[in-house]
Amino acid sequence: MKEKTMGSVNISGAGSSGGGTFDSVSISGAGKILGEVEANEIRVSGSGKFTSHIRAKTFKSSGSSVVEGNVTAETFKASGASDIHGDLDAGTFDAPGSSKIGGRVKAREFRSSGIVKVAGNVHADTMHLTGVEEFHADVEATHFQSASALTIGGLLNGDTVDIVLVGAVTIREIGGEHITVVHPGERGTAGWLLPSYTHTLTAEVIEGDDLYLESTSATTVRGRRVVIGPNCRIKTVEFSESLQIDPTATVEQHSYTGRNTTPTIGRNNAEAPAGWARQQAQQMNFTSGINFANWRNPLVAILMGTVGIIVALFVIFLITALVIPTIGIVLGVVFSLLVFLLLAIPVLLLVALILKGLGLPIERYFHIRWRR
Amino acid sequence: MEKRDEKYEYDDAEEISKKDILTLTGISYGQFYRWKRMGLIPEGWFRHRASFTGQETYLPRRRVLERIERIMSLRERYSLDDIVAMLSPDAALRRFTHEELQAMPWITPASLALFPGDAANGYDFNDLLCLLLLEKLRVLPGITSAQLRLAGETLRAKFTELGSTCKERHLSLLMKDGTSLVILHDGSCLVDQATNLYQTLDLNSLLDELKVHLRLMAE
Repeated sequence: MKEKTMGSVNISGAGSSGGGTFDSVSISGAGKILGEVEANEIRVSGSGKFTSHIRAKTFKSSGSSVVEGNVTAETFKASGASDIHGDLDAGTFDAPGSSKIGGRVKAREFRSSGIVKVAGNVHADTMHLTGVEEFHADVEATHFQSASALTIGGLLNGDTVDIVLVGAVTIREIGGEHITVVHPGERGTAGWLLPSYTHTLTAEVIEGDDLYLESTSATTVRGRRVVIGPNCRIKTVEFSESLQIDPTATVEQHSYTGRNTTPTIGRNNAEAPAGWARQQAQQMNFTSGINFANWRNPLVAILMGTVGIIVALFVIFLITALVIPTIGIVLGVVFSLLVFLLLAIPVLLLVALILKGLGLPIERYFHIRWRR
Repeated sequence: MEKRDEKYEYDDAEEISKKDILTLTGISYGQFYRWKRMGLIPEGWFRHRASFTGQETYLPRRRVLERIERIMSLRERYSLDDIVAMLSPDAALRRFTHEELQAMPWITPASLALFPGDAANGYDFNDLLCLLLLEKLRVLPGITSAQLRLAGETLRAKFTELGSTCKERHLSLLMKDGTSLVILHDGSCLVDQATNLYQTLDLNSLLDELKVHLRLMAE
């Protein structure tokens, strides 16, 4: 950033501005910035359009923003809808909204709890995904954690790869040191909406030193210590130290590529290794049932609140009807109308739950935080 | 001068599967993928192909084995990040004096004499690369000093234009009707029947070597 005093751009109605170097750029109406922008802070809360590259310390968008060039930002947060046509370089990438990136992404920390689509390669130190992600090319991260509806068109490469399955996860190829794929359990993610058999991983090749897989269909699995867990369907397994196959898994053929004369092959119940994936799956399995005694859950608060209001109204109506019959009839009509309107809330919630079950991160739209 | 094949393909033709690399070198999956992630094993080397067991990845045999060997030998003394810095295609910025060059054991006075750079201004990283190139070419049978000078001058003038975004960088020495030609290209070049492809050098691997030389010198 240059040392000279810098101005700010503030668009709160509809307007446009040229690019340049600013202290801050803030768009709260509909704004368009023509040309390259360099700023300490860029905030978009309405609709913003940038026709060229952006360089900023922080870029925050809670509205809708379109960037036709590349973005470089130390902090990148997109809680609205953002569409970047070029590449993204970020210290921290946090996407609780819906983001689309046309180029590649480089980030130290990559967090997504919304809908994220990336066309190019993704390179990050740590990745934490809990939304719906679609990566068309390769994904590289030292630590990769996902409990989301995930699709990767290329290679997923990481030191530790932890995946909790949500819906039908597809990854073309996985390579790394420790790879753990865990099924969320019978009651995992919206249990009654997404039956447990819908949580699967489909991959072509999975390679690593320590592998633990559940509900995975793969053509080739290669590893040192391999555990083929429940409900896997693997065509070929190649291992160089040990192999364990769960009784519910099918492995068409396996071969030993190590140097010992007697490889260890077990056929017993497999259990996920301790780690993020197992912990996350247990937690999801536990929290999917709604606890009606938990008032902190806004879902429960709204449901119980609605019931409470209906009951209170009914009591008022009953008392007035008993004391003054004529007003009672009028109140009765009003009451039934109110009940009708109030009932719409739980119905809406039900729709929301179904949407959640389909894998859409509705909590972001309704600002609901599920009980942890 | 012996006539070679018109089509230059380096010796990439010989490939090795990823699986065989691991059994041959004894490195783990974790290491292999980590090195790939850090760019120590370049993306451009990977070739996916269908095989009878499904899909298999192949890499250029000589280069990948050479690279792994280099990483393993450096790893005893340096961290992976250091190795990445040493082997990455970004050029170092330092300038070297004529005396410093004379003290470098891998540069012989013969190549220094051939090199067109001027001693007064000192030498930069690119100049060192040219010197290393001359070292490599000088020992070839039947090479003339005119050819060497041409190769050195071309690399010096045009290397930066090749850019580091270009994945593969090679220098080929050609002969046609008694005239020497030098081309810089990205891995494969096709020449007419009358042209003799005399020698080709992989500049990226030359660069690696130079960085290792410099690093060892800095110790």
